[in-house]
Amino acid sequence: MSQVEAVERELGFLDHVPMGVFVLREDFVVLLWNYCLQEWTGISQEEVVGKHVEVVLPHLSAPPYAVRLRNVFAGGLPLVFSSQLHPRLIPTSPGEGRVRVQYTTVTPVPAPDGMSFYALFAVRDVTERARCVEVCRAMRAQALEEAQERKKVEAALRRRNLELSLLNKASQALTSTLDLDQVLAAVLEEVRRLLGVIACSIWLVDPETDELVCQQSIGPQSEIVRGWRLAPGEGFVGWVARTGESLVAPDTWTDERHFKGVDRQTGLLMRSILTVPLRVKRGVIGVLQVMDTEPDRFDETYLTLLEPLATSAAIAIDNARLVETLRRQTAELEVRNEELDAFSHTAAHDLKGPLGYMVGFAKVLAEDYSALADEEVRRYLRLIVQGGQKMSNIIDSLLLLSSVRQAAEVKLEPLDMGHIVEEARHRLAYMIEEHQAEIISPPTWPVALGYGPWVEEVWVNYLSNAIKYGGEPARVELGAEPADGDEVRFWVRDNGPGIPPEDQARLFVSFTRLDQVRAKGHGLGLSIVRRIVEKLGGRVGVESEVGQGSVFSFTLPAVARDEATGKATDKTGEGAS
Amino acid sequence: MSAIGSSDRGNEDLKERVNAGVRRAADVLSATLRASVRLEVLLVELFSGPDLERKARELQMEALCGVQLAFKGPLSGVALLLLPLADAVQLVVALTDDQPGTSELDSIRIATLVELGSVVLNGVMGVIGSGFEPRVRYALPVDLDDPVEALLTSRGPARDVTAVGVKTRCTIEQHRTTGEILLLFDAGSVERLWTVIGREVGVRS
Repeated sequence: MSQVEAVERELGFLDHVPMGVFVLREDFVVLLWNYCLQEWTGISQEEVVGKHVEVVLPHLSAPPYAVRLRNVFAGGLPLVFSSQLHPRLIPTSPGEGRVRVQYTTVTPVPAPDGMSFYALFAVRDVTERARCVEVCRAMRAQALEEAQERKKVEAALRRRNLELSLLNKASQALTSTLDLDQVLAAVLEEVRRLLGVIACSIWLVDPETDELVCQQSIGPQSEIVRGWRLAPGEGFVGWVARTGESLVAPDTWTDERHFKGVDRQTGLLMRSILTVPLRVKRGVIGVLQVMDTEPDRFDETYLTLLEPLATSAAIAIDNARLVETLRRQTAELEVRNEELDAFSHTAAHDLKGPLGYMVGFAKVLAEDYSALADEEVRRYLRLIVQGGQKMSNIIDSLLLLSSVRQAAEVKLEPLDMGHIVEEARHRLAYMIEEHQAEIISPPTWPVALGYGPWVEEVWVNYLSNAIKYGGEPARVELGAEPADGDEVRFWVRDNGPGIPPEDQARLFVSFTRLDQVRAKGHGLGLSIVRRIVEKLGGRVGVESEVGQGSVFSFTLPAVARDEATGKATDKTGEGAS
Repeated sequence: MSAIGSSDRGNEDLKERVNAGVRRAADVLSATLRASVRLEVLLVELFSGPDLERKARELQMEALCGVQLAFKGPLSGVALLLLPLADAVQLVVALTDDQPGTSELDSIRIATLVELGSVVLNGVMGVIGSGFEPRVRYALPVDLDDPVEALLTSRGPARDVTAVGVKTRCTIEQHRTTGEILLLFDAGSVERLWTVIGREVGVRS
């Protein structure tokens, strides 16, 4: 019996297994080629059995396969040929151009002689498994892709949530108050907390100068930055305010637009700066800036967060400014209304007195003229003239007050105070003579800025009060000295009885008349003085002690040396003309 | 745990056998893959008893995959090739031009890994298992399904098992990984191994 027949008898059952099986002898002669393999390869058993394997599978008898098979023929370890490393170990095709994916194992089978071994090839069709793996891989790849996509969407959602949270909190903060400082502080607190930045600030455009003023700032050394002014176009804030575009500066060291003055002052080097404009309908009103000491800190995400916030903040700031303006105007209107009430009351009251006795004396004259002595007639007429004069004075004062109130702007000029005081004394000559008053003036006066006709009224008021309410005889001393800041303080000292502290507080309030103390006065004088002096940029004041006389004063802006009219002057007036 | 020392002639011979097996495996792999393959033995150790249990727990801490080759006859036990999972995937992908796609070992990749592992284990066991009469019989190599600890448990108490651990560095073209060959010998097998080694040493000397 041949070896082929012997193998067929021993292993013939393998003809019916659903996998490819063939057996090789040590000399590479095929001893078995099962039906399955015949069907897969299209090679019949007759074509191959008993023949050298190179007839159908020449690669098996050549290296590296021959080397590995040698060990099997020696009864050694079984072999594995995987589909990925040996895709065409046994060329088979399921048709339609498809490839059968195989997984082949080779095990030694003892030969009948008991000495040698045959190599039993078991070829498994793992095409379906490979297809499943491919499907699984594709599904997994798709799942991974979807997971990635979902991650992206989730990240976008998280970002959006953060934005909304920021906007929501900021909006709450922004709408919780209409106080400008509180609005700015609230905006910055929210920005710093939610973005986790080192510092942030809000700069607003000064409408008069177009400079950018740091209105609010939080973070280290923020008090140094607050109030800073940058010229139009200067620094990142200037650039953003001018262009209206947001700016991400990843590294300030390499950006020439960065204004390094702030860093120098604070001692902090801000490497990353993000600046966005605060824009309302009429244009950019300022910028919002966030900073960090780390470079490359801000990206588009931060920009996306900050820009909507800046829009809300700009509206809130604009509203707060509007409300502030309205409040100020309302307060001014209220003061004006009160003044108008007091004005009408004072005018009526003060005019009523002289008018009353003028009418009374005129009536006596009209009815009893023939019965009156000439001397009496002349006295009544004098009294009527005095009353008219007094009314005329009151009306002049009211007109002056009205003109001061209505004057929008007044041009300030260096004043020749000696001349102005002299004019005032001249106007009061009758009163000075009547009260035998002694007026003591300094030999020279410092040069201050003001408006001559108004300042003359101030002196007239102060002097007339000092004469009227001073001692008997009145001794009135005038003087001037430098005051705090760039101002000159002018004063009038009398030798009167002094004014109690509770009355001092009411002296300059509009249209107040201190009836007990100043029985002969009318309530307009000191109100006018205060109006004039404040309009000229100065302040009024009084120092008095009961029994020690009083000092009434006012300040005016001093003249800088180069503003003097060709002569060297200073705040003390030395060398002033 | 004890490193194989040069003072022990049998151990030295075992180490030599391991080296020879690994060299043979490298040759076969180079020919099969048509690539430059280098296998280096870094360390050969013997484990038994508590050392082996500790080793098993240590291996269990890592994400490993592997190939196992059971054998029986005069020498019985199982030979394992253990590789870090990520390295194994990279290795298969690099050798087969497979699409990286996923980082997992699917059944197709596992089959490839089994072939590669079987070449290595065949090399080592082909040398170690030679010289026995009757012959050592080998099962088909398969992938390692169970954890190493479970494998040890299934083979009986660890004190009855002796293991030879071979730390091996494998360099295939640009790819490099460090794996471990673990030869677990059932009770009595290792003694028969020493006998065979001793006899061969005696013959040589």
